[in-house]
Amino acid sequence: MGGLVSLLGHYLVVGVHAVGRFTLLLGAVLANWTAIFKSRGRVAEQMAFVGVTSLPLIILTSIFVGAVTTWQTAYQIKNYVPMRYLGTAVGRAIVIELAPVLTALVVAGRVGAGMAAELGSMKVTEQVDALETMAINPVRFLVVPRVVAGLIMLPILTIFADLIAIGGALGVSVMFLGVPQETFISGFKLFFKISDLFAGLLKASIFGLIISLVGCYQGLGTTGGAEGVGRSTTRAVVVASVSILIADYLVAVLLFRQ
Amino acid sequence: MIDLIGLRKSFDGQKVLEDCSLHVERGETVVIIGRSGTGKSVLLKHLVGLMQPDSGQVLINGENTVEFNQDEWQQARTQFGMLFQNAALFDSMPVWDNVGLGLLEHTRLKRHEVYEIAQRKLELVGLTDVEEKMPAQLSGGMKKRVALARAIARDPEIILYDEPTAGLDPITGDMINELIVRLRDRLRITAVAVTHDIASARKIGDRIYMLHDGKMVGEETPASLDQTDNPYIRQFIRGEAHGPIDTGLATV
Repeated sequence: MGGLVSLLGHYLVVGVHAVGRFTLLLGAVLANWTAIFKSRGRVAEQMAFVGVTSLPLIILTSIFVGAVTTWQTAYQIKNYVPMRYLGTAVGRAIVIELAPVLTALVVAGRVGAGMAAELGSMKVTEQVDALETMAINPVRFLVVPRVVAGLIMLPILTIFADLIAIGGALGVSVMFLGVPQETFISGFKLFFKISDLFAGLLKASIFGLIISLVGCYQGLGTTGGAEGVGRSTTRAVVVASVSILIADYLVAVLLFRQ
Repeated sequence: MIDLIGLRKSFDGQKVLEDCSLHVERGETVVIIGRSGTGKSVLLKHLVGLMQPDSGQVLINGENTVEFNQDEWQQARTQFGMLFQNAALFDSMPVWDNVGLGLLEHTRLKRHEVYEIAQRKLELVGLTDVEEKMPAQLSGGMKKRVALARAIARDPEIILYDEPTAGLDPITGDMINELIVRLRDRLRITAVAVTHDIASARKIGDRIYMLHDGKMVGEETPASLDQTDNPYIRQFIRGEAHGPIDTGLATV
């Protein structure tokens, strides 16, 4: 019993310590936000890494997200709800929930891991120390461009994901479920609100912040050589993915009042 | 110029530096020798604020840097250059960007002006036509020289050398030593070097200290090194397994 309490206490201390350090990093990013003007080149580089190079993967996953959502929704509502509401249900689910969350999870696996690995190897090879000895603040130089890129590019990727997933949904409806294109689109428009789209994009921005900040936090906290880089990379993906789902719930509670 | 007074540092209860003191005059090169893992690099990192001591003082030009906040450190670090053990070049940037990064970040110089300065600094360390190469395309010795060019890019008052010849063949190692001596003689830079390479210590040092068990246990000059009556230094420079420095061999 004593051992269990001691173990729980240890994890509590480690957890509080990590939250404290993460908050300090967030504070340092906010304090150094003006670095984006000086670091335009690095911000553009990171935007290309987060956005452009993730696009093929987002296109591929979004097609299937739209397709499977439509198939499953049709399976669940058949015999209860007319198929003219298929576009309504699928469209809102994609815009509000599926496109932002699944895009963020894919980007967390690709970009969050990449950031943690890159900064982690910079840390263990003393490149971060070298920056500090050159009086260059690592948060300003390394973290701010990545966080800005995450904040901007996740909503843009989500817009692509929205469009492509809806395209996938439409394709399945027309080709395999016998729902005419006009019926699907009129159903989609029926209850669609532009505020739903903005809510989805706001969530995407928050997820972008989480992915980049967690990736940088894990990377800069790396110790212990190549093995440490591997650990940080894994942690970046796990922590970002779990945080995205928790943040998703919290934002839903705040934005979509029952 | 530099004074360490009663420096103490532990990691997870393990003492690394214990009442460690050192004095460095302006324009001289002090070398700290000692076995691997005795805290030489830790000591060096305290000088430039990469680590904070548990207690003690680090005085640079009479100012106690232990009390510095982040902004004061940012200011103080502009007078430092540091050569890292494994060069620590930024592997995503070409050589000239590595050398000129400090200038790009801290001055209003244009990129082509920084490029020219980087070229001059690279020439000073004997490198030409490498400006556009990436660090991965360079040999170990070339990386060290690029790192040296980066360390002197902003004409620092103080340079810290962490194992400047580690991992290099004897000839390349001697070339790095030669460059360090030239920098000292030409630019009158104050320097602190840590190494376990005795040939390097003899060549670049004005004074040589030995760090053992977290303390400075002796001081010599290159001229007096061979006649030292300090048993620690004598054992170290002769490379003997038996002596006052416990190697653990007797217990095997």
